[in-house]
Amino acid sequence: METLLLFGSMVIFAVLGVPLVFAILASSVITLMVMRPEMPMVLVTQMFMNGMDQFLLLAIGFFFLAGELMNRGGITRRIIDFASALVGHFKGGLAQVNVVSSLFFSGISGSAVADTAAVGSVMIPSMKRKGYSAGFAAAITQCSSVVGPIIPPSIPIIVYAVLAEQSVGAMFLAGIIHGILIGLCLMTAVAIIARRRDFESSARVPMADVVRTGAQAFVALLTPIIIVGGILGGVMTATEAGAMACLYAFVTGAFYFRELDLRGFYEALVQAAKGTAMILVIVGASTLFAWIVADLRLSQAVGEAIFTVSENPLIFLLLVNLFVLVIGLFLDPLAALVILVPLLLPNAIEMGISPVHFGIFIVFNLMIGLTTPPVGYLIYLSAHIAEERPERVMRESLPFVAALFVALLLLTYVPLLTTFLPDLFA
Amino acid sequence: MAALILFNKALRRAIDGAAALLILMVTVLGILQVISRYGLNSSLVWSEELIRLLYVWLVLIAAATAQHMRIALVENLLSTGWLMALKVMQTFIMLALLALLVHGAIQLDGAFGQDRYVTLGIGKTWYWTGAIVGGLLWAGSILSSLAAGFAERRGEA
Repeated sequence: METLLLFGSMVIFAVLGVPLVFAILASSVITLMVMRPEMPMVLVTQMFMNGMDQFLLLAIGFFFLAGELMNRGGITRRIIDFASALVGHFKGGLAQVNVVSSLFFSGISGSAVADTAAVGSVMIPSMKRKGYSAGFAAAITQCSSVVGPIIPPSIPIIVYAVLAEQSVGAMFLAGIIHGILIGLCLMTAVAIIARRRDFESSARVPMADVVRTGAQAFVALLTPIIIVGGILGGVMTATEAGAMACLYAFVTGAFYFRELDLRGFYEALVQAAKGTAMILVIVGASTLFAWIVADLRLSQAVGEAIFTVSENPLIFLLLVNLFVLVIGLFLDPLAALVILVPLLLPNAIEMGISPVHFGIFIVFNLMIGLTTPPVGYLIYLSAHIAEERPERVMRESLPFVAALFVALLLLTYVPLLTTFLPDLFA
Repeated sequence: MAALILFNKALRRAIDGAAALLILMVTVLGILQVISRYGLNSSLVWSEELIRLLYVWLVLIAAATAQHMRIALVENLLSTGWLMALKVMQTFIMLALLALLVHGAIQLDGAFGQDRYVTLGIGKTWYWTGAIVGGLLWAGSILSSLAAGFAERRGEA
């Protein structure tokens, strides 16, 4: 009854178009009033504020700002130039460039939505000009952007690290190999489709051009090294690394590339502030929701239900895969993280699953939800950039979503992919 | 009607400006923290508390004009009359929840506002005031956008 009230009312409010933060708050307040009428309503404000007020979460604002500064400082174009020089001569060259650009861009921005906007605004018009359908261009852009929150820096991984009390440095390292693997799965899917549809390919670029464009993009590719290196070296906390990434992005854009002007700087500040606020209020609202989940002992109920089916960790991961994929269809990934991690992580640890592996696994699972209806923001954003109907983008996305599922299966059943680097640097 | 539209634009511009200033201050403080520790060999003991306080203000003020995540599938299927009814219902829910948050912040300020930040030496009332100001600005921005939207529609008609 309480589960239905809490989750059901949230889905109803969300479907009615109430912004997600208010849908989560409203369902929590209703559940509190019905199930815990003795609780004072001041708890709502207290939990909301406590959820937002954690030092590690400050890093989210910094990573947002660093990404905005890099993007406005002319780095996106240079990354795409380098990707073109590397893989533009493959069959379906521009689609491959799209995937590789997303891989590189994920080292700057920690958000899939930011990746779609930045890479999509350049790549989708270029692909359309070269004869690719708008739906296909949008589909590969949105699916390749999923890698953004897997390769460091990553906003969802910071939220997971806070919830699971894990080292941000270890979590960031854990995403690197898997992020590259996702890229390879998508590139394979592009290669198969390119062969079937006889897509274009450009002439191979001379090695001198590869080196020249690589040198330009290198400045951007240093960002994740500065961040992860700073954290692992014990020089900075994740939050401070985020602040230093902002300084680096500002100096690069304003003084090295000289493309970041005062107006761009102001717009970057405003967009970063809004993006941060959008995420943090969801985290605040979800903290109250998660508290109710714990108070109503839903975590134990889920645990008992899972243990009834099987005590095998592999079956557990398969069940969690299905459960999280379904949740991810209807819920924003960050809200889902705040709600699901306290629900599932204790059971995962009890089964001997590494919390680092579980973190990357659950984040990637939820990111796939961004590419599928009805919540899939990436579909609507990429469709908007491509000026195409979302249904077409969804249809063209199917082979790429299949590639993402292959990557998910590998991630689920080969934990070494995520634990190798953290163990190496431990 | 034009005054409503102008007021809405001015309010949004002011909120955006305040949010930009706050994120700039938070970032500069974060950078100074690292430079001070490694460059000057002395930590800024007060910086973490100040950053956290400013961050709460930043989030709640910037939230007033941010494009919050929502599902617009149902809205796209509705006729104008039903859409207006849905918008009014959404606005009512949002305002009711913001009123609850602000009311809670006022109560918490009364109970804990006199507590002090250890290194800053100022009262926690600054923290709860952030929630009150942010909540009111957010509600004001929702109402102002709704009024400006109506005014624009009437102007077009």
